[in-house]
Amino acid sequence: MKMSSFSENGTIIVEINNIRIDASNAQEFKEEVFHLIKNQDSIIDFKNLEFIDSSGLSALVYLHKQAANNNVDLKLANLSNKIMDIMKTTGLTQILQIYPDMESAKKDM
Amino acid sequence: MSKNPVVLEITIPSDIKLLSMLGDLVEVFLQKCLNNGSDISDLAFQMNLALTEASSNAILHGCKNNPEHYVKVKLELIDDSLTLEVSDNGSGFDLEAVSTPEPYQDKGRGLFIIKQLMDSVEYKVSDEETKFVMHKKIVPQSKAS
Repeated sequence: MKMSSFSENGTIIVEINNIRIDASNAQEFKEEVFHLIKNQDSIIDFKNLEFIDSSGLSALVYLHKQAANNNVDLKLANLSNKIMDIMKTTGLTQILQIYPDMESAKKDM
Repeated sequence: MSKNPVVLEITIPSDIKLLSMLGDLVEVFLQKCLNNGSDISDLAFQMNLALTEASSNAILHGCKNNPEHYVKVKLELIDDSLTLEVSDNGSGFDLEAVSTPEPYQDKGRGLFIIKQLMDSVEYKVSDEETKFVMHKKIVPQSKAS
């Protein structure tokens, strides 16, 4: 899984550089992001992501639950319209903290 | 007048690392077959997703990700009717009762997503293999700008 991360004003920013998250790499995505953010406020930047399947969506639900259990924020930014459509279809827009861009996600930290 | 069907078949070992290739394949198939200036990016994404979900189900649940088993994928376009077939010689799909997923549930969204994206789905079991067949009517889209 290609990703990079840095800390900004106490928030961990994770940038996903893969264009695709599916059943072949969702577990790796989940474990590596969890290792990076642990119990800190964080934003995942998905500006490079073009595709996600149900395995990837399950990984996001897992990360969301871990953040909630640790009383920290996990925000998702820059999801494409196609990915947003599938998130709406599966009801995930009701529970995940989704922002159209990094600026709005950072403002809300 | 009906055009000749376009059919593409591929057989791969049951290896989850090959999953993205199948998704890419259906996108290229549609882009080349529907080369009429229409914007098909939404359709291509949706069919990529449906085929990815069905194929990962076959590889991981049907064949337990065992490369000694195989997964066959068939893409068929006849006029405006698209059929995606995924077959395997493993122990069969885990075709759970499909209901609208709860947002917090850990898994079980794959088949629900397929049913949302396709017009109809069929599940066929024989002694030799199990086959998951998905149908979609192609609706003409606006021309790409």
